[in-house]
Amino acid sequence: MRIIRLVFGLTFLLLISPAINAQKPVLTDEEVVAETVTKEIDEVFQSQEFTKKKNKKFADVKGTMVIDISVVQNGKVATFFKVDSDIKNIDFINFMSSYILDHKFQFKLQKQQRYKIRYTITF
Amino acid sequence: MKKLSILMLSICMMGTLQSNAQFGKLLGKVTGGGKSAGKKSGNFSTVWESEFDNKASRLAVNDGDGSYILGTDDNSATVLDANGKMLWSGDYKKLTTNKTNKSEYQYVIWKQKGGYLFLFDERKMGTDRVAVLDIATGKELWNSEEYQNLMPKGTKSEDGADQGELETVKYISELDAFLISQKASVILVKANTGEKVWETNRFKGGVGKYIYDAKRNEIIMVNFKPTALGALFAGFKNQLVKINAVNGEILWDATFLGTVEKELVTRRAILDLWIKGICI
Repeated sequence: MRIIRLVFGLTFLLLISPAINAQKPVLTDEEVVAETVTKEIDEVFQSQEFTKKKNKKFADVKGTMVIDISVVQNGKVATFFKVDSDIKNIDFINFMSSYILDHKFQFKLQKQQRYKIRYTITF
Repeated sequence: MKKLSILMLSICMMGTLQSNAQFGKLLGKVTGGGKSAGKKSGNFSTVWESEFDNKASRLAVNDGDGSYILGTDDNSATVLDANGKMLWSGDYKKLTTNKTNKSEYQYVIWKQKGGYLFLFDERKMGTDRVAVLDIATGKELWNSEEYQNLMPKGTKSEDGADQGELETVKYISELDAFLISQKASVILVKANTGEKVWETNRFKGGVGKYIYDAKRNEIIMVNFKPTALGALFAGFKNQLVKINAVNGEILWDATFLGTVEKELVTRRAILDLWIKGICI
């Protein structure tokens, strides 16, 4: 009987441990949110996956883009807005918009909270 | 029996006399001969006559001052000037670079010098195509394959349109931009270049109705599920959102419960929005 209980207990622990690990931190401070967003987006644009996709269609595109990204409670990107850009390739701007909107951040915000972060990227 | 026949005959005779008298009055007015006719009727002579290169089965419209006359069918367009002279004509397949062809939905926006012809080519197989042509020159301004299902699949353009506009494509003249709603987001696109100004995924589904507040540069939009089944699956939840038109930022959003009734014949949603009160 003891052994069965032990097996059940261990199985339960094994099952819930990934969920505990996967839980995202809840950020409350605006500065911390801005820093985390910048860091994560930097990583996204330096990733091989992004470089591969960019080079496939927009290998020649070079320049700087200033964008506003707003993040909502569940860590999803809610809005993309191009503030300024010396890149004039419209297809590339549209590609960037879709790419960023598909991203999900590795953190959460408090209920009803949302932040807008300005981000500058140079290609 | 004889009396009845005489009575019927006399009634018929009286009726004929009355109709003749009325026709006489009308005839007098038309010919100008009658005393009661005070004005002479105008002489509508033909100024010019011209022909479109196509059947003009889809659109046959002109702008406010008649300087551009547009005739389109599903696959081509012709534009005439104020004197009936052809400015340009062509097949959409050749005019557009993304081979937009059979456009069941076409939407004209007149501006001071020409305007835009918005084409939507719904493909049963493959991706839908959008192209915008410059009415004055016939040149393609932009095209895209990014915007899908602008018309609900299986519906005709007349069914999905509300006074010529689709629920999913609205033109905001103050911003010279198209507000395009997709399954997962709403996008503001510059009308002359196709560039995304902003995109937000906080508002989902077709824009049922919107109102643009020019004073504050804000858009208030409402959506609803067009079908009863859709509404049931969504728990009868609909959205009401206020967006900063400059950057797409959601200023506030709210949900309301219920279904929106539709007109019996036109199937147009009975829904209206207005801004009341003084802005401080």
